[in-house]
Amino acid sequence: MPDGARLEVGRIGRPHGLKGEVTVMLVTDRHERLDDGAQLFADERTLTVEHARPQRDGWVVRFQGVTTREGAEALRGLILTADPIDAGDDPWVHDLIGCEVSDVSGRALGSVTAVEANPAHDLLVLEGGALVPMPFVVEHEPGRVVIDPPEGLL
Amino acid sequence: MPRSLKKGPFVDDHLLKKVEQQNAANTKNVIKTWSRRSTVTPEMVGHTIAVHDGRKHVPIYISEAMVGHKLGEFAPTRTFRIHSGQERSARREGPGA
Repeated sequence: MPDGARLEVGRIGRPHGLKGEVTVMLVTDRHERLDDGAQLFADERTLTVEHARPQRDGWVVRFQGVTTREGAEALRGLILTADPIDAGDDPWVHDLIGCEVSDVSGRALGSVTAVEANPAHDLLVLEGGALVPMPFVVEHEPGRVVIDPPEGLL
Repeated sequence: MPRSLKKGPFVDDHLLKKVEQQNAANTKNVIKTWSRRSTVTPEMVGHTIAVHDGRKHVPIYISEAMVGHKLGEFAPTRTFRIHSGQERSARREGPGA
């Protein structure tokens, strides 16, 4: 991912009600993206969250300036993006993808091609399809991940 | 109706035997299993069990929060991959852990 590029945080779904609310499905696990006053981007537009509440699997959101069902209908299908935020120690998926992986002895194991969501913990997908649970990641620097896998994992 | 407490949690014998062997030898090698129906027991905590999802074995690091759940719950049969352009932090533990 290029530095400074915006990240996809969710997608706008169908209108909800008659007052301009829309359903939003978040892909991010950071719910503060829908805090009151938060700014999101969709194509060339800037959308400011006026109010959001969780509903079933998603969220119902009202954006500033959108007060009619027609206005909400015009937003349907837009992908919401936002500027990256500093996560502190937590590694981001977009930081991990493309990283070179090695074990604690320095043996190169290929690069991360994807991250698979799992109810237990996320899994790194390495070149060749090997899966590495996140608890085995002992060190993460930009472009490099060190893992301490148990015998028989790779 | 839930399972009778008298019987204790169900774990396939062949899996339990492997876990007990590793505990006796004090090793933590990956254990491959097809037994999605087995319950996670406290003896399994700290082991890595590769559970079959119908296509491949998914390695799962067993934590205390997983005790009482079935192994199959941690190897979904439909996979969801997070793309590089999406914002999401990589989770080391499950939501309940």
